[in-house]
Amino acid sequence: MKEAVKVEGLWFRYDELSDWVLKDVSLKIFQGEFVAILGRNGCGKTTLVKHFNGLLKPCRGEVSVFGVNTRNLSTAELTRRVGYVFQYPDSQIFAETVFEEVCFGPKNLGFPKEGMRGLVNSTLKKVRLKLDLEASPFSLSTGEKERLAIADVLAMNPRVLILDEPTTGQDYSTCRRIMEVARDYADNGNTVVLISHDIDLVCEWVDRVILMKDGRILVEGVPDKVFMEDKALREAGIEAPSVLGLAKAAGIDGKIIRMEDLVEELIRRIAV
Amino acid sequence: MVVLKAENLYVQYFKTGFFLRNVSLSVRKGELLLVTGPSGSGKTTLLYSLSGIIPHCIQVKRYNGNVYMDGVNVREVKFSELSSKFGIVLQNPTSQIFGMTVEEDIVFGLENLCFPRDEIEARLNYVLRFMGLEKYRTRDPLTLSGGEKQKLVIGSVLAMDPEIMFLDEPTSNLDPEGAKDVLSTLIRLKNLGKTLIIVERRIERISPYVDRIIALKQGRIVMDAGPREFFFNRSMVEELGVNPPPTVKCVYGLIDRKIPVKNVPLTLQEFRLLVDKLLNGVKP
Repeated sequence: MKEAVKVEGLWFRYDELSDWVLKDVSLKIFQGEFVAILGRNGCGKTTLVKHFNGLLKPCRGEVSVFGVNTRNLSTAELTRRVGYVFQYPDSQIFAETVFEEVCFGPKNLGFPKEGMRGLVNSTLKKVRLKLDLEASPFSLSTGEKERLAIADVLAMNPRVLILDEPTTGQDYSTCRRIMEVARDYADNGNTVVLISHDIDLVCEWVDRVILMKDGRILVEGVPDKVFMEDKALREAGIEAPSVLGLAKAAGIDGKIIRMEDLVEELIRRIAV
Repeated sequence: MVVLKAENLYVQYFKTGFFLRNVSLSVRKGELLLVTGPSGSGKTTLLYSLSGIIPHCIQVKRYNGNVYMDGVNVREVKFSELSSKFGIVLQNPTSQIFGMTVEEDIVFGLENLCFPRDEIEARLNYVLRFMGLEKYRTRDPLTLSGGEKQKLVIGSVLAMDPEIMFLDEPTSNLDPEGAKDVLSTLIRLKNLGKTLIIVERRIERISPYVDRIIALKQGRIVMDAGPREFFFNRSMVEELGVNPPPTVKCVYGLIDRKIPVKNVPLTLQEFRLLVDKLLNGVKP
């Protein structure tokens, strides 16, 4: 598998008088992977991912994207490779129409004008939005705005997509749609990095989980492994998946973190 | 005893489209009522209407029907007469915090109503203890975590000792630790005998603890039922797009696999009993 993002011995603080926000972080994220970064507010999740698109540069250590050190790339060059959807869509949306909003990024990257309408339509389809292209983005619902913010970034076709808490404050059906969009994008050979507090969604959709605490990586691995580490979860302030609690209540010792698997196991036991 | 009542309420902000259509409901004293529904369904508008903020503080194009708080028609009294009966916690806690310290924020309302000094002190201590904020007494509120800020706002409202408390999305924007903390605070407020009307779009955590769920869709009440009855109506739950508690989701999964389950468990204990019955071949 090809490395999309590689972080080696990364240390970062916002200025010389303040504490280190990231302390010796090393990790690799691969092409085609859908990865979630979890941890308490303030543990350094957002600071870490801001290094992936060059919004921040390391104080010590290295970050490279597809083999190129971010120090040697301008933010503009990095933007083509790494797309970042910020936590609050309202802080990102600004154009007068949906059409202008979605094609702002591609236009600035010099994408051909002729293809623009087609690009906007196909991008909105990707995020499962049906909108009047002339409507004002500010007239949309919270869930629609979040997906529009994702469309803005997807329109530039970045090879790495970063989603910073896209499901916070959203209703459940929007959450599921966002996860579908992210999964599809990764399955098409891109990389998706998700910051989230939604443990149950994370269990169901992502390939790998990175657990952070106080600027360090505590554990990482497939959800089935990480969510079994009670001690690390407690330390990082992360709740165990709710399915694990249900399985225990039902007297099942096995490592079950997804609802489908729990139902399957219960059916098997009822049949016996 | 009914403390809040809406009769055939219609609210319209603009020339076109109603935000509330023919809403009728009543809330009993001490009830914990959850209002849910998709975004734009009228949840916040209902909260503002039940508290009299509409039409007193927010102008609307049309307002038909009646809302009674403690038997008084909210339109027929001054807003100041209503505001002593209820407290409201808005969606974004920071918009409601303005004290330089936690204690200043809590006593603001009491000082403005010229409460005696010792009464203010007593209430301040009570609220700090109830909310678990004693150690933050002299802290700048803006340095608190999201959950702590939310608890401070609830505490400042509690200091006024209102009969009815309205809360707009008190947990949905918090991280899981904060959400859990605020949820347990809400349950303790119910145990104090407060009437609570809570709007939330994410209901999987809170719904097992509420007395009743009212679901809105396009300004109409489409469901008004206890949590068990609410989640047993699966087609409605799915139409509303809300996330049921995990125990309920598991039962939906079992029903899909042709296991006949006739009630939905809301707690882990109930879930355990259900599974025991199924494994022992007893029809639940």
